[in-house]
This record gives sequence, C-alpha cells and structure tokens, in this order.
Amino acid sequence: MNNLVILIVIIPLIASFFCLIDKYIPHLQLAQIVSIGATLICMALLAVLFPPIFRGDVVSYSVGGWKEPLGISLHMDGFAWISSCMSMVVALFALIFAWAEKEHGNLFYFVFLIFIAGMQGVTLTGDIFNMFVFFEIFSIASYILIAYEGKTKSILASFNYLLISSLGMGFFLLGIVILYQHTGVLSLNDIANLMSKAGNSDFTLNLALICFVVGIGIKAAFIPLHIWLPDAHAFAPHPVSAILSGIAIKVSFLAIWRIILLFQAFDIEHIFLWVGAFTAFLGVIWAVAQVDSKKLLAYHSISQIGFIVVSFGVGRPLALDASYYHLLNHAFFKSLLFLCIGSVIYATGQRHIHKLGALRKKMPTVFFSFLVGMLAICGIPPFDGYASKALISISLNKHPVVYFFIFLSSIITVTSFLKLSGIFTGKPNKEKTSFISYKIPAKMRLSLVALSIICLATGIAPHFWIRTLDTFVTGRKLDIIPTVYSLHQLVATLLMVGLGFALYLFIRSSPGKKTLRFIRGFRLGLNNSILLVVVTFLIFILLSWIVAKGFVQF
Amino acid sequence: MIAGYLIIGLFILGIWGMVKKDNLIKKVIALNIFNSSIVIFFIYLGSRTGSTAPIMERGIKDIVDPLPQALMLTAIVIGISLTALALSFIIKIYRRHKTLSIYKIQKKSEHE
Repeated sequence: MNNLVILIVIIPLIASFFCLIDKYIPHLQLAQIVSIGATLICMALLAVLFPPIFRGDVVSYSVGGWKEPLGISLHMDGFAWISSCMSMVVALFALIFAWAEKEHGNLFYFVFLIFIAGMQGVTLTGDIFNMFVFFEIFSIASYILIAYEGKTKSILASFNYLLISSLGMGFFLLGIVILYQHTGVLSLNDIANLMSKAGNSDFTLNLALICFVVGIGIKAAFIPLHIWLPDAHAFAPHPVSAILSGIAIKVSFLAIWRIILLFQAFDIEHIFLWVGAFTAFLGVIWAVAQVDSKKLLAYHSISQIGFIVVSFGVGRPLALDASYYHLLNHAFFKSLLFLCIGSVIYATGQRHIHKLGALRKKMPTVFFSFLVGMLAICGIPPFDGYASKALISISLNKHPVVYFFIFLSSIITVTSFLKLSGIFTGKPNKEKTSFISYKIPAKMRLSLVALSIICLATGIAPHFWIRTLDTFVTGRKLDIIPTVYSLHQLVATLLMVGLGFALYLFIRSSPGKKTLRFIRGFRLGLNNSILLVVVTFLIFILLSWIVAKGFVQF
Repeated sequence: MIAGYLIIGLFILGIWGMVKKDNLIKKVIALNIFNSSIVIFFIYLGSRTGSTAPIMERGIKDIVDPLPQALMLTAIVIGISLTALALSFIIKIYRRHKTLSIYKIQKKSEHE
C-alpha cells in the first residue's frame, strides 16, 4: 500500500521515456497512448488509496528506506489525495484534447508527463527542499511547454516567466537556508512539531516563511506577483493553457496553504484577506478590458485566485472548505473554458473577440460546453461556481468591506463573460469565412463534454461536496453547514446578474470603450515587474515585522 | 565577517542587474549571480559548523555539516539547466528581432 504513493510520481516519469521512443515507431501514436495510459493508471492508484485516506489515515513512503529525520518521505493525506485527483482529471482531458489537435510531436508529451510528475511531487512531498526540487522540475517543464509552438510571443512570455519565477525560487531557496540554519530541520512534520512546541513568535522563522510565500506566490499569481501570467497563459498551446490555469497555479497555492498552516502563521492569513480582495477586483478589471479571448480568460484566472485567497484568509474551517471548493471548481470550469476557446481558435484560426461571431449554430457542442463554463464562473445556480461563491460570501460575513470588493468582482465577471459570449451569439463575421469547416475532432468534443459533466456534477449537490471536502481538507471540523440556496444568496445573485448586464451595456457605449482601451494600454515591462517582485518581498517582510512587534493587531 | 558582507553585496548586485540591465544575456548573468550568492551563503554558514571534511574515518572529529553541500549541489544543477534554457530562448528571440535589448523587443512585439 505504501509503495503506491511514490508510484504516482514515478509512473509519469517512466511513461515519459516511452514518449521519446515514439519517434522510432511511426503510425502507432505511442506517445499519446502512453501518456493517457499513465494518467489513467495514476487515477486507478488513487482509487485504491481511497479507503485508508477516507478513514483519515496518512499513507507515507520513505524514499530509499531512510526514515523521516534522515531521509525524504512522501505523505498522502486527504488534502494531498484530493489535489492529486484534481490534477490527474484535468491533465487527462487536456491530454485527450492535445491528441485531437494532432499538432504536437512526441516531445510535447514527454515534457507534459514530466510536468505532471513534478506537480504530483509538490503535492505529495514531506520535505521542504524536495518541494523546491519538484517545483523547479515542473516550472522548467512549463517554460518549455509555453514556448513549445515556437512563436516569438510565446517564447518572450516564457522567458519573462522564467526570469521572474527563478527570482522567486531564489527567495524560496533563501528561505530554506534560513530555516535550516535556525532549526536544523527540513521535513514538514518536524517543522510542525517544532512550531507546536515553540509557537511562531520568532522573527527569523517568519522571515523564512515570507521567503516561501513570496517565492511560491509568484507561481500562484496573486497581485502584485501576477504580471507574467496573462502572456504566458494566453500564448501557450491550448491544452497547456488549460493545465497551467487549471492546476499549476492551484498546486502552487496549495503548497503555500500547507506551509502557512504548518508555521501556524495566522497573522499572515489576514494579509491574505486583503491581498485576495485586491487580486479579485483588479484581475477582473483587466479581464473585462481585453479583446484577445485567451488573455481575457488568463486575467480571470488571476481574479478567481483572488476569490480563493480571500476565503483562505478568513481562516475559519468553513472558509477553508469554501476556498478549497472554489479552487476545485475553478480547476474544472477554467480548463473547460480554455479548451472551448481553444477549439474555437482551432476551427477558425481567429482569437480576437470582435472578429468572431455567431458560432452558436455552427459549433453547438462547443457552445453548450462554453455555456456551462460561463454560468459556472459567473456563479449562476445550479452550477458549481454558485455554490462555492455563496459559501465564500457566507464566510465573509464579518468582513463587509472585503465582501463588497468580492461582490463587485462578481458583477464584472458577469460583464466580461457577456462580452466573451459575443463570439457565439453576436453578429456573424463580415470577412469571408466560407472555407472554414467549423468541424472539431471527436476527441476534442469528448474532453469538452466530460469536463462539462464534471462541472455539473460538482455543483448539483453542494451539501454532499462540502461535507466530503470537510472530511478531506480540514478533518471533519464543521458542525453545521449553512444552506447554499438561501433567499439572501439568490437575491444577491439576481442583483449581480442585473448589474452585470447594465455594466455590459455601458462598456458597449463609446465612453465605455474608451475606458477599456485606457485600461488595456496600461502595461508593466519586464524590468518593472521584477522590481515589483522585490518590492513586494520587502513589503511582506516589513508587514510581518510590524505584526511580530505588535504595532498592529489584526 | 567580511565574507558575509561580500555575499550580501553579490545578492544585491544580482537583483540590481536583473532589474536594471537592458540586455537579455546580462539579465541571465545577473540571475546566476543572485543564485550563486544564496548558494555561497549556505555553504559559508555550513562551513562554520566544524573544521574538517566529513569523511568518516577513525579519529575524525569536529566535521562540518555535509547536508548544505549536498543540497546546494542540487541547486547548482538546477541553476545550470535554467541558464541553458534561458539562453536557448534568447537565441530564438534574437533571431527574430535582431536585438537583445528588452526595451526594443517589448516595443516591437506590442506592435505585432
């Protein structure tokens, strides 16, 4: 049983070797079959691990037979199990989509599998240096995947991501240095034991924590560490955008989550409350201004991460569950939306929102999948986004100002998706498009439909899901679960849709268009974004120093 | 003590180079300097824990902590692969834009 844990990391790595052989065996499509087979095997292993995890056990594997203080262990608890499942499901459908595209060679699948292995490693590892190594594995794989198509824009985006994220990983390494010098331990369990004995009053340990949070925070992309994200996600190949947006930022955020709970740094959680509110609000403002359909979705990833971070910042068990629920839902509906837009671009070769239109009749499957994703991200019942957004607003009942920001962002979310849905409902394109067949391969349709069904399934019984997440994530701490379908929430949703529609009418008018153009023109270059990362690091240190000295009480 | 100041100097030099330098290759060099400063920092701290090399023969006492060196070896390898990848990206970008200045490249790619 214990060996199964490491197999989840190793099987994708073994399979990636077969992808390299694929070149010598033509017409077999070995790379595609092996990579999909590897994810399926990993899912089967996760299913085998389900009963002990559900009982609340932790399945551990010590690498090389060396026990914890000396060696490295992998731990599979409920938290890691559900994250692992989420990434496997999204990766599977992204792989099927990539197979349907038929544009990628065997090297694509090779790097893709290494990417999956790295992500599984980050979720499972019980050692902070090992986490650093897995982070670098999956980031290097993601740089290659973003630049895979070889377009200059995607290479430039990937290069920017590489520089900024390597700077972040340098901070992470610095954190490891400080932690090891100060305590002499690297394993997460030992840190937790130390913290429960000593408490986290020590400023040096807080410094290490800030290094970890800022270092991984660049990959989790909350504002102000987000600047690399829109270009990288927008110019990547479509299945890669889906996994980057769907799981890569989630896995990074979950690593932050684990580290913060480990350090018992509840002061920092309050900083996250405000960081999240601004992330949700600013992200969606930039999203609504975009005219590139994939860039719009990429900015929405930032905004939705803001929702997740806000709820995490509240810190009560219900809020944590709501945060994880939204994270899970966002993984599914955002990858669905990226794949929908991806198949539109695949069929028409056009990514500008205003140059597409009236695709509803021509691509009905894509339209309905898009509709599911859109209603989910806007938070319309009975889709999954509604349930998690309602739970987030319930958990924010003691923070009215933050709730106001979150509500505003939900309104603008509705507006921006009305704008994006113009590619299906609006007027047909004036340019000659008769040579386009509008047909997409069956495998593409399969992955769209399957992800839509998952979006429906996770939304249909919120009570059941929140109870399950409570078991896995926080360890059965909830006594009462508030009803999601209360009158208050439904009225708020109605108000949100109405205001969103009104705002949509505004952005169609000429002053609205001018405003959007102004927002779109606001760009930070690479130099400024690196500076921003460094400044954020210093500000976080200052904040934690102020909190540690007790100048400000949260 | 002077080693400590030099390491801090390298750290700041690396960050300054990444923020301020216009040339892409110089940015990558600055990233390397930044990474090296952290590596040297860890090795320096580790070297002060003892005085002899950790080769465990009879009579060896007062060894340095071998773990920082093992960890930093991994970090150096990762740094090398990152540098290689970054430089290969730079080659591609240079072939397209015929310049290495990030300012000019960003301006050109905005107009595409």
